[in-house]
Amino acid sequence: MLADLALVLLDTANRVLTLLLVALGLAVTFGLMGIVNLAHGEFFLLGAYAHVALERLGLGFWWGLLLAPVFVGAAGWILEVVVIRRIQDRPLDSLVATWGVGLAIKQAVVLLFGPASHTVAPPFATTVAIAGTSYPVYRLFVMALALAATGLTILLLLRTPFGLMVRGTVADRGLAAATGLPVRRLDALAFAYGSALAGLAGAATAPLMSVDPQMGVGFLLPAFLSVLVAPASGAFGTVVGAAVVGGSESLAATVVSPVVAQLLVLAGAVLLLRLAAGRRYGRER
Amino acid sequence: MEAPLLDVRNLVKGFGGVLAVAGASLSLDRGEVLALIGPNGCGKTTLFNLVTGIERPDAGVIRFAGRDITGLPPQRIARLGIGRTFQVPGVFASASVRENLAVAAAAARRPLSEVAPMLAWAGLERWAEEPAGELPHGLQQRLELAMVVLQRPRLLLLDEPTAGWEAGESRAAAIAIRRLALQTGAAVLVVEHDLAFVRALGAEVAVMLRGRIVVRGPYGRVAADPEVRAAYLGSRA
Repeated sequence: MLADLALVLLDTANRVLTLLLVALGLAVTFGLMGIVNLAHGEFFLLGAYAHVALERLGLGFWWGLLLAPVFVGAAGWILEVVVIRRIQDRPLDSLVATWGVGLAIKQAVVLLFGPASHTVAPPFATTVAIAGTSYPVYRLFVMALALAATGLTILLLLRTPFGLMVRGTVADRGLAAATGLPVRRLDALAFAYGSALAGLAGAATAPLMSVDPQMGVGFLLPAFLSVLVAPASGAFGTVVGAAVVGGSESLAATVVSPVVAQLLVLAGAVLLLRLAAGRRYGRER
Repeated sequence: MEAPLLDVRNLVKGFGGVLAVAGASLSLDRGEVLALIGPNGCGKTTLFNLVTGIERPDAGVIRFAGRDITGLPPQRIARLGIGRTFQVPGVFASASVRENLAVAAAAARRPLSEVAPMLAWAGLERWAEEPAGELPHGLQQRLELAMVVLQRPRLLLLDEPTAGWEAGESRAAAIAIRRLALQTGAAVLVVEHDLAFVRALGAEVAVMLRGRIVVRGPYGRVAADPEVRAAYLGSRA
């Protein structure tokens, strides 16, 4: 009984923290910068495939985990400079454009790696006994990584000159420019950082799931919902958002069924958003 | 002969069918203080917006320290050493007073260790952790000025820095601005309606009418100019 309960709680915590890792990048690009990037799920996908590719090149798991976010961050930087900044004042256009970029990334992955799924072996296949149940150590590592990435992101945004400048640019672009902040470079860097987080999430979770061209789809909606229902923009609010969305989804999936769980999460999100209709998200202009 | 620090030539800017700035020319040397006065709508703030890159001129040239800066984006102009304040104080409302100064320092690549002395200089230590948007207007103006001064600009553009102040306070502010120019070596161009402030500033005065600088000189001579008296100063002079 205790072992069953421990397993449910661990699985729920795992779902929440994995979702947090994916949503963290969105907290920066969508929650903070106000960009609706529908290619975020594909950046997650790119992170996983970059990890696969780097392992094939013989670099090993840890180099793959380290370099995949750098690669995806660079892709995010290019997307911001080439596409996003030209349409950032037109939300509908950015929706369509990033959706198109997402499709292109997915098809490129299919062309390069084929439609079949791939696997990444975890660096440690051992389990550890927790309250009578044995739990994979790698899952615990991903949970710790999510917490560390969240802590680092909060520190970066609240305690560094870069974070100060990004928050200044988001709060008031005109004033930020008049103050001498390099607003365009900050936009690109912040978007690249958010994309790199998606890449990190993809690379870190690759050993936990089958790496296939559809793997980003299942995370995109809950990640957006986590940022939307967050009580405050930024990384800290997203922790709460991911806990609400991921926690309720995982618990409902255990108690009822995964399909009912997704329906419940969607209905709950619609209700929450309806109640909070007056709230503002993204850039204040 | 050394080129003026700021050299504005025949600047033109229209909005729709209205010419806000209609061929304005103005120059300012290093360390010089100049008051720019004129009735509402004569183009003073638009001139500031053109010099700082917030608006692009339709015609004319702006040179700063000999370099053509016409049409450059505001962040590049700010980084060249032109700082400005706004009529409605330009502060990051949701950030604390200390964070506002830290953003200004980071933007100018000044060390963050300069924030604390600047808080003291501006007399804002008591409010250091308060959100800037919740400060009274006068304190927001002080914060905005501190943010600009922290960046050590070579040219300071002040847009109605004492709007809404008592007469005694605005005279003290005029003296503080003169001292600031002396201490930092920055040139200061200040737009002001308060003539007591302009007199206390003791600097040259340029008058803008219908988008052009029509006269420039010491306060007494400008105040006696018939066109200026008719158009702007009237009996208040």
